Amino acid sequence: MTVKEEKITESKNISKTEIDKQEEEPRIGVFICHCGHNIAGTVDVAKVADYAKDLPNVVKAEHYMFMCSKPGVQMLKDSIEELDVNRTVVASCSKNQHGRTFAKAIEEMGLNRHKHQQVNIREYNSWVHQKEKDKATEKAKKLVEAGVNRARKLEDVETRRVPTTKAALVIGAGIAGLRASYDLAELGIPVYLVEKLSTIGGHMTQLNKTFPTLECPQCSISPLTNGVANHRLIELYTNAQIKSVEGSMGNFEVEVEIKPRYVKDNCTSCGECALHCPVEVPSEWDSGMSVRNAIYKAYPQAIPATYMRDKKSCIECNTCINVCPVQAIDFSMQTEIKTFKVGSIVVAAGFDEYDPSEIEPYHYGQEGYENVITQLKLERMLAPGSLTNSQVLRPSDAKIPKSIVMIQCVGSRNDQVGNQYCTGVCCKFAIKNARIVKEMYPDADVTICYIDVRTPGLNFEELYKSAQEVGVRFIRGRPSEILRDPISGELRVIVEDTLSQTPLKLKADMVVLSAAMVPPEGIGPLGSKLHVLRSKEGFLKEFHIKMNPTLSSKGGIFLAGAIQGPKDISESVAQAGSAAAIAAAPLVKGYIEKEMLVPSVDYDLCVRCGLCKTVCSPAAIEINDDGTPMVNEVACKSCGMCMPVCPTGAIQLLNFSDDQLLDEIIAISGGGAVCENE
Amino acid sequence: MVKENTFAFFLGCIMPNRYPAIEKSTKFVMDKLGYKLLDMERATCCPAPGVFRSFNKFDWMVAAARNLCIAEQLDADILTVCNGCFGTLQEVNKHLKQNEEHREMVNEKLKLLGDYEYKGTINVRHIAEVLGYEIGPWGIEDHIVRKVNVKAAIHYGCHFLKPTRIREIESSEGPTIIEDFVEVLGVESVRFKEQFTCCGAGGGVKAYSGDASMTIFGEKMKNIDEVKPDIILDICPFCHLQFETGQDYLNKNKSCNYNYPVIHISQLVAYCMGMDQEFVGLQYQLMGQDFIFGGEQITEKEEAA
Repeated sequence: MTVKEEKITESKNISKTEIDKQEEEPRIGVFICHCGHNIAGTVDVAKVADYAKDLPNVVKAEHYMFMCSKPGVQMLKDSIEELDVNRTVVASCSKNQHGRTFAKAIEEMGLNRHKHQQVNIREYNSWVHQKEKDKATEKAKKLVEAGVNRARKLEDVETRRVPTTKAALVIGAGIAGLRASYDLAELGIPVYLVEKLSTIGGHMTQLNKTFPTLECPQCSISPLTNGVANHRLIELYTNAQIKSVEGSMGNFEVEVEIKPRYVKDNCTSCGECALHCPVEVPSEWDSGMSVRNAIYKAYPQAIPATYMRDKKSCIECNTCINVCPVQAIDFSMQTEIKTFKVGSIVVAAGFDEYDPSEIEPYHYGQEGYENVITQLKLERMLAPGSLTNSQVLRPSDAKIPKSIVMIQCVGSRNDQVGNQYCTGVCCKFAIKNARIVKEMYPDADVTICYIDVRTPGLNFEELYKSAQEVGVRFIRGRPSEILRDPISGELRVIVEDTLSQTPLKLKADMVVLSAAMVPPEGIGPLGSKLHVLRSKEGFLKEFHIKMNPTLSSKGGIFLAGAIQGPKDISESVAQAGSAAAIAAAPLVKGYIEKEMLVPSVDYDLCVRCGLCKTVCSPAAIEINDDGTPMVNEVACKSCGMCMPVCPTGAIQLLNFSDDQLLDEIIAISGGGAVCENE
Repeated sequence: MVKENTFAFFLGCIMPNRYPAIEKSTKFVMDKLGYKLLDMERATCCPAPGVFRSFNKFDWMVAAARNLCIAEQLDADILTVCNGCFGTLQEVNKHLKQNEEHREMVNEKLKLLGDYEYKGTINVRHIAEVLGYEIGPWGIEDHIVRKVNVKAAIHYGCHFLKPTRIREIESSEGPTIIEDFVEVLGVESVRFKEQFTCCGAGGGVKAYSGDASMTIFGEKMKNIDEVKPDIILDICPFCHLQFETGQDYLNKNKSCNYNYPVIHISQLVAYCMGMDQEFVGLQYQLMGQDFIFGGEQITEKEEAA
């Protein structure tokens, strides 16, 4: 502690002993940028440069019109060559804006890029003090001095190459997960594809038509499902869930729990078992619009085609075992746990359709309101091979409805249920379905009640118009209630047409709710296992909404499709391709470059409280058997959160240590306040 | 702790002035059930949740808090038989219990009115909820001496259940608390169209725009008339007033011919507990003056058993 005290008391004249400890004497070059009039219009840059000249270790201090220009950058380079400058300070804009420009320049001259210190005298100074020029100049002097103090003790930061495991894990086999898996495999990366359900293809296989072209989704997706199922580099695990995830970017170890199908792979998919099964339960894949047996295949084209026994609803009558011609059924199959080593993880866990029963005035799912359904159920009704033979029939009495009212924004844009966001695809699928239904039944009234119609992008306004042209009626207003006449059982949708300010009661033989896309069930535990952050809506949060929407908050874990937020198929496919490419890059290259800007632990000072681990969001700190922390240098994101919580200062981030930050503060505070406290 | 089996009986405005029979019935019922009702001296208007709150929410809270203070001084929960009074008193009570800042502001102003300090020690109860949940259909059976045999259109009104997040009694979309309770009294409840909408009186509508009020009410009566009940059963004197005077208005001005007796839940329960029909007071009401409850006596059967 004596050294520290000495240093503080001699704040201005930074102690000689400290400097002697350095391997080389710091030779600091200071450059003040005018940024046109942005800085020089307020700050007297010449005065600041003059002031900087006299600071200890400063061997050159200049000012220039545009430091980021080629001649400006050349000034830095020249100072290194001519004056042996070994640390640079540029006082200009923010570190995010041009810090990297200058760091790269000194690296080209053979210095470590971390020997550059950026000082922001534009956003932090000239832009906010335009009317106080003298004070702004004084502030600039202090900021520059602080930068010089900080630069004095900057250390080299090593960049290390970490070898990566050439394999990837993809979670979820919907359209996004399939696309990402296939693209990864085509780049030569072995892929483990893990799907929670018994089949692959996800929500897309449930749809009747895809907008805007009204294509058959099964036809679009089946080349991909087949391609993935048969790819030599893709190992597919259905009925499987993530159990644990260890490790970090480039090298993860993942435990996967695979539930048994109770049907062996020699199943020929003949269907004898289901034909004789006495149990019938609502089909999940068919969104409850038909029934399946306790032993079943979700749908005819399902991949894998192997049947599966649903243990929960099975009554163990053993009929299926007896009728199976190839003896494929085996009730003794056990849950398996497999461990995979992978370099990257792509999360494509998709979404769930919002359950509208939460919105009481719509009475979804209640007795007497059987004719209130969701768009997904309507899709299932319209799809080929449905129980209604692709006709629209009211669930209550199987009659063709003469009036259909669709309600938009059910669970979206609704503060009452806590979802502020617009799902962004409901307008499109409602318009698509309304048009299909209206074309099927031209005499039926098809009405869409909307808040705003949101159909941006190529082809979608055209789709909207085409629906209007076939006679779909659009009413602007969010229905307050669906009322049922207790005598006749008829439904009425209560809505105000806000364009004409007319309250309406719309007769509805059937009501279709355009339910929101919400995070899938189980996303909480999965997110915790992956150590990734979630948005307040519950989706997995991207690293940067504009510049890196595919990376999660944790390095090496990427997001594809609706798990990051509501998306349509095109967007999911595009993001999946992006996820595959950036997830593959370090695996193809064979290594990742990681700057070792990481904390070190003084084990003599550590009191083993474990606080550092609790605040480490990328989970880069592990606790050793003796209670001390151990930093995973590859996983560390250099955020520094561990430092302020440490009660003894035992954990110190390289180039951000208490000692270095204190030097910087002293220049700004004049040292007074700090000394008094001591 | 407040006194057990005791309520401070908040009368409100409409009941004592227009329908003293409801007051009489309530006292009869609560007495038979073993509750003591205390008079709230110097109590004022609740004040009405629609009009007063819309003009000045703070003064509305102060006046309500003053009423709450009277009950606090009596050390008893408030009992009301009116949706409007319940709406105001329950909401203000709940709000002031939770919001310290408003509590202080209200208490500051209460000082000007005398020896009042809101402390948040009591609860506010509605008779329908006391009967429906506290006594319950299982509890009332022991106390009734006769069952009626009527078909009732039950009108819940608005403030009893809405807003549900504040009332926390039951969902306002298809509630069953009253239906479940009155079934034991021999009442068959019939669902009718748009049953849970407003009667058209509250929120200042009746006073401000009689026409609008009667348009809403006319729709309501049309829906009730479709199911042809014997009586209209309500839980609020203001709704009661609307159903009474409204039917009269529709008969005189809109060529209707309604004559549905309007019964408050207190009146019905009191009758089933043995109060004479004459005290139910239908003869003083506008509609169904000749209506006879009738029904079967059950005391003898019980005694025989």
